[in-house]
Amino acid sequence: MQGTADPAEDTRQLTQLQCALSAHTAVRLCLEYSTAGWASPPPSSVRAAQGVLGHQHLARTPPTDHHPSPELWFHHFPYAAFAHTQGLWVSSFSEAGKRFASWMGRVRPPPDQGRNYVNLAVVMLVGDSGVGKTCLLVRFKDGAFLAGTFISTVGIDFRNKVLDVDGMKVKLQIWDTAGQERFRSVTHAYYRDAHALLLLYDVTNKTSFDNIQAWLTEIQEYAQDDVVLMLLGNKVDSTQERAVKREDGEKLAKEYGLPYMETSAKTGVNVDLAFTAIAKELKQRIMKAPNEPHFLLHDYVKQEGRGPFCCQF
Amino acid sequence: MQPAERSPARGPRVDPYGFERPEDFDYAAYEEFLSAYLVVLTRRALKWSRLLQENGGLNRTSTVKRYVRKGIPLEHRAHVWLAVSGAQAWMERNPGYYQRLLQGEEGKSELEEAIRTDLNRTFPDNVKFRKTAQPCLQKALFNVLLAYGLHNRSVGYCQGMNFIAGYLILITKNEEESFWLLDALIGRILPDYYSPAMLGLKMDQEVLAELVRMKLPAVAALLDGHGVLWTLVVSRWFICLFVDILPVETVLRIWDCLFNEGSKIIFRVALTLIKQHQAFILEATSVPDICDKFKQITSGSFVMECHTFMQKVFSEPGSLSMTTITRLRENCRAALLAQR
Repeated sequence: MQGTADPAEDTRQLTQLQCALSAHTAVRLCLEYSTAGWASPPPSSVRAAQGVLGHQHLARTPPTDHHPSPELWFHHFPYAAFAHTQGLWVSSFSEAGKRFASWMGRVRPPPDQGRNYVNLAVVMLVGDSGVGKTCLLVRFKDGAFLAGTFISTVGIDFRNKVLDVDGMKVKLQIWDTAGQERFRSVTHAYYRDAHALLLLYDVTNKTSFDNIQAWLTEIQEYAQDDVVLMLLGNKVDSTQERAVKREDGEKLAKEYGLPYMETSAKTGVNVDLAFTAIAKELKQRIMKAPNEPHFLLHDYVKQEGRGPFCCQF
Repeated sequence: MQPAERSPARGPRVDPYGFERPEDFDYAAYEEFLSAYLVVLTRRALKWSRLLQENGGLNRTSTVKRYVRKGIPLEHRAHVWLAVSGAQAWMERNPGYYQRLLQGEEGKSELEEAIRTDLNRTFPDNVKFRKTAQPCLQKALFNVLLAYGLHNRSVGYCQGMNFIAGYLILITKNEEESFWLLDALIGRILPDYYSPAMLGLKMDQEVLAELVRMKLPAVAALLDGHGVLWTLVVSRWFICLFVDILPVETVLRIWDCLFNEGSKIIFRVALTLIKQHQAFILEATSVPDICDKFKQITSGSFVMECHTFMQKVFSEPGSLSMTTITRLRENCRAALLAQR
């Protein structure tokens, strides 16, 4: 079937086709089209099928390799991956495809926003009460500092932000949690849905640093094994006396193999970087091209992070 | 009416309780709501005055129940809350108790520190809680929370209580009365939401999940299908008793019923919010989406129009007997204890 020259007629035809297509058929059509090497332009049946799957705006380049690496699975066979996530088409796929599908199960695209919006990730902020979790989040979200205009977080709160990571949109939903100890028995239930965790302490509050071990135990017990985790020492701007040296933070981070940075929600230092680093790591886990070097979160953070704040000791 | 005579497009920046209105506050919609609600308020005020002038007017329980559901006028609110919750009786039986709690010296420091962490973070958007306010309600808030923590040591201080005590202080304008109302809520009306194990909170979240499974199975299926825990989306509703979630006037109308009829009202409100927005919630396709939807359903004209909202609260969820709630609470509590 070919598209017509008249755009209105074209749309009408597409709509009719879309109504007639089941999701299953749509997946089959798109899959055939993509495995056949992305003949261009796509016939209207395929465009209709893409519409059914919510991917009509998808721009794709033909694969250069007909046997893509596991990491390229999604890049070249998005509909196969989609089928996996919908439980439509499992038996004929390779282990790589299934591995990818399990990833997709956790980082699922909103079907109406197209494939280059695929990364929807949950980042959770944890740490003692008053270490600045909400402020860090608002600094990142709105670029502002909440001096005395924010309320204590009770239970859990959410904010969204879309980041552009190397030309791809990554939507982060950031979960801001209550820090008071008794809430831990409530919040630990949230860990399993988090793709990344930012664990904060306050460099002017020794207790909040001492409690990091307890938080890590909690994380080890409840979070996913492959969760992206970063340790942040917040409030480095503070005029109050520093209670935790940068070296102590570094040492602890090294002990647990965590990337580490000192941040300030007030001045904004390293705040965007912390979130960007996480988004890069998450994006890379989904769609790294074979010739693309591994993204190394530790190195990135070390390289880009601003500091040290030795002068404040 | 000439345009010049009309009320200004923007009303007062601060509401009657001292809360600054947000930048995006819809003054026009509020104005429209208020002009109709003022008629209701006037009518209710007259009825309440007559009831309270009667000897033992507040003992006519079925009349009081009907009246309370239609809203207690602000000028009588503190008095009626104290009377129907039993707080007044406790206060009269224990004269000077509140002051004695604050004079004691034992075991204060940790409690004080936990409360202080939240003082600046309780209603920074309320002019009466500003450090510069005369009088500054932060001091009253500190005292009430400290006294309560000393009075009920197994609870101490739990985040969320700051918002509840803050509202009580705004309404009663009296520390001691706020203390006894807080005691009525935490000690008698609510299951143990705030104790360190938060068992009552977890139990009621599960009870709500069960009620949604019974009454709104499609929503329950959506959440269960995505493995979303109810605690993720509703914990704040329970812990803060809708403070900072719904508009102030709506929260106060809910609390009217909470003090008079008990904690069942929380489920009614939650079910009404979910039922009203069922189709909207069902559009969600991911966990973050579901979270967003549950956040969005607590704003807008549906919740701002408190009088209509409260009527819906008593009609929309359908029958909800205390027997059902008690049974569900027992089951959920047992299940939670077994999980430990």
